[in-house]
Amino acid sequence: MTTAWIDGQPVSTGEAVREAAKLLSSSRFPLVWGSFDDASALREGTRLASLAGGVIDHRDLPTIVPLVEALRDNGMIRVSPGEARRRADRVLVLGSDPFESRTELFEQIFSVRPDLGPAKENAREIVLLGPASASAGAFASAAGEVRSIACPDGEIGDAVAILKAALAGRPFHDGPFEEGGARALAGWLKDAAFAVIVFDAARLDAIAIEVVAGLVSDLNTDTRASALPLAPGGAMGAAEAALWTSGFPLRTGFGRIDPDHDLVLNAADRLLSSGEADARLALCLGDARLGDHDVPTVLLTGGEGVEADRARIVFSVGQPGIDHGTVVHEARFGSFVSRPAERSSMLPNAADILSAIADEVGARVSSNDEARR
Amino acid sequence: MLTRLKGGHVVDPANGVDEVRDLFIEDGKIVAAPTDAGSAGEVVDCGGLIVMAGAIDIHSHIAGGHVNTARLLLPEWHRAFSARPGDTALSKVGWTTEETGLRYAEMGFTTVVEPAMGPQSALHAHLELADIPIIDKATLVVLGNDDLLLSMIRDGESADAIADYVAWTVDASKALGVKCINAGGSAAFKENVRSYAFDAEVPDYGVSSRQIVKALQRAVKDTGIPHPLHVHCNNLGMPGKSAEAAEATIMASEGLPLHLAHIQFYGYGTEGKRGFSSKGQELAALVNRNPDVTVDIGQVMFGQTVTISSDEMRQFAGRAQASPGKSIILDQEANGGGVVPMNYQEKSFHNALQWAIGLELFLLIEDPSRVFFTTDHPNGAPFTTYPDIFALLMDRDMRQTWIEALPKGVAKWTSLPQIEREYTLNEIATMTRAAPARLLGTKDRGHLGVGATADISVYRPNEDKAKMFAAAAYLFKDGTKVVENGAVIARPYGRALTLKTQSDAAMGSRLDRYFDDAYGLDSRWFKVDGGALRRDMPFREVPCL
Ligand SMILES: [Zn+2]
Repeated sequence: MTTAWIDGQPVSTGEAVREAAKLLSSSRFPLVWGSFDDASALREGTRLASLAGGVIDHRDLPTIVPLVEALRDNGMIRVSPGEARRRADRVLVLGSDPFESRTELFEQIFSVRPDLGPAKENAREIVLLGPASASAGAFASAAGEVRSIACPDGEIGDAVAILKAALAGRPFHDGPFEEGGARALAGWLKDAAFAVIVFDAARLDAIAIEVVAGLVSDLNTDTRASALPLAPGGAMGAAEAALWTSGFPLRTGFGRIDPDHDLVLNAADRLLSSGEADARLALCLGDARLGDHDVPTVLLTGGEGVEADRARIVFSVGQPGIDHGTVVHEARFGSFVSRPAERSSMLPNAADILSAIADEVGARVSSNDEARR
Repeated sequence: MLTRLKGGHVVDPANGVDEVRDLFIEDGKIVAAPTDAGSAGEVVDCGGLIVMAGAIDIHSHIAGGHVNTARLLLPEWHRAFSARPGDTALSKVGWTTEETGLRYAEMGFTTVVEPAMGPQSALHAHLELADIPIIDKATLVVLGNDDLLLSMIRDGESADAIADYVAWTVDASKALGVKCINAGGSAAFKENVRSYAFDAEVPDYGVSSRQIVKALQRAVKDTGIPHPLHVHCNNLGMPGKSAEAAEATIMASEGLPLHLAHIQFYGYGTEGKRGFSSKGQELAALVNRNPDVTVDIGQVMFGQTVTISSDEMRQFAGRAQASPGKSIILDQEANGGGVVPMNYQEKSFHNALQWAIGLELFLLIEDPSRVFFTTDHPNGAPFTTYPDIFALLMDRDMRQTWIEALPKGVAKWTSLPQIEREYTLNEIATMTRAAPARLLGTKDRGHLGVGATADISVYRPNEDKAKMFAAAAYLFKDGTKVVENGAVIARPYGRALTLKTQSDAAMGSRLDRYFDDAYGLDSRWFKVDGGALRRDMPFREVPCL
């Protein structure tokens, strides 16, 4: 079974690894980019990027950038889904249904009534603050009482700022609320045994997320409340693993002596458009594609032959969690879990290929250093 | 190959050795001197050098969810982190797992314990540990605010059942011991309780902190876990109440071993116009009188750092002093926790007294095998400050110089200026080698006897003790030379030390149901699979008692 090609010709894995290492280590500023949902692949990818003096980025990073910025610049009081399930007697849901593609998480939190703390006496109350009727349907199955307050997605940040002002007794305009509605909703949160404010972190900008964090912080002066930002596990897991391997939550460059964290300057698209990245390694699983850029490419692909003609060196790799074990960030757990392979497979693990390339790049770098000495 | 460490001054208090002699290592172990010393394939000249076992840090927050959150919260902090910026390119890399291993190794440390691994964060913690090079690692798993334990105590379940639950958790999380952090305090905070003492009850459970600590202390003993229950007491940092909490906890040891973490943070009284004074002398005397109890210090050193703790109630209260002014607090199953940046300032009366109280405790607790060397990294200070702390313990004049730089009022509120004691090398070796190995139950290390793991640190004596301890002349890890002249020359991966505890199979089935029913979680997620860590040998098992 062939799983590696150079210029379209089948080769041994070892040969392709050496060629990939040659390409990346002779490049000025290589980009390592792609579907790094598997923490094992991310750990090896970061090692490769650092040894090759390049940048590492995740394809879905834009979905967590606002949350990363808000956490980094402002901080937050936040809650795990499991604890929300057991304690939250009042839940404020922001924006269009954040649970749209998160059925299991929805079930985890909303299929039962709270059973810890003073809240256990109460039925759960849920307020949907978002586009009219956008999410009411899904919440019909929640164990609790649901009501909606219409608010366009683009005005969520403003609406939360109004609640914050109402809570503090500062002047405010009504925004999406009817007269007295903002004060009533702020009071409803304040009188909760344990209030949770849940939102899709990809749908709010960093400033809106900071306002939510501010409201939660204010509520905690006298009562308990916590934020539950929902973020895709793949990008979140990659950011977490990048934090311990590089010190930063991705879009980290290793071109200079210090690793350099920059969400804008190190974005894959920008580096490719500007020509700063003169080579790349792409890990394309699922529907990930290379895009329009024309740059010498090492492709690790999970789809048979997809875009193989656009890369100099191609490795066919297995699907994490199906062809081989995987380590992923599980939103319900709020942490990493490992999953074994679902079938026996001949396809290589992308993490192993990345590791082999990194070893080879490392060996080339140190032999260059030696030669220089 | 046989290696001979020739002519060093061997300081090995566990074996009563304090003299010039050779040491031989082969296949990663220390071996008896061969009949022909000249048969060694490699000779390392240790003439004029000090030879000790590799140092062991029993309490340093180096891995896991909260540590990673600190990295996220403080990207600007990474460069400020190193106590010795600019020494090497790597010292500027940032606070990564790799750097953690390298910096510890350079100082001659070979084993470090991450003391606060939440059961849910176990895989995350072990993934990080797997990426820390050179040193061996271990973890303590945190219990004591978890719904199941509190419910079991409330419902009067048997000590056996509780021990089974503890054993299952230690085994699943691949821990070396159990820690209990503000027992009941996090659970109470979720019910909006803001201050919590040893005999207060957690609402909803009617169970007190004392009951939780005693139940866990017993379960740890019944399970045969060598390391005694590791307790982070209630009311950390609160003048008056903190000292009361530590005193109550020490008195509750009742003949069974108990370890109290970062006791400096409890050495606070309420005297003086600032309402903040030292209880260092009283607390040290109490420890001296209670031989069941061991403590580590959590020394404060001046400069920017960040506090990382699973004491959610305390971290929430500490938010107000955050510097820079941002923090992340987590409500989570069981403990939760928080990350709050902190800048300890030499010119602050409060911070200066904290520094002095830590040293009082170090110096007034008489038995160096019952007091352990920690800064509660990074809570009191980053571990890169260790060389300065060794110097402060060993050199009274240096302490005097530091005291003179403090705000005027501080000296009269502490006994530190009057304390003459200077730690000897032998006492340092006891505190950082022999005693920690005994406390953790890791008999293969902490000493240099025949059969011990060849983790050996070699130092070049220097009047400036900070210089001496900052850069090991040599470090051997499992017999491999990994540091030379303070620089890392090889970076093999060490392992995580784990226990194999036995629990009843019925407890496994019960927990499968419990995690699903109570939290909608799969109990398998709590079990760390060594294969997921991508290391050839991620674990090394330590026997239970
Ligand atoms: Zn600690």
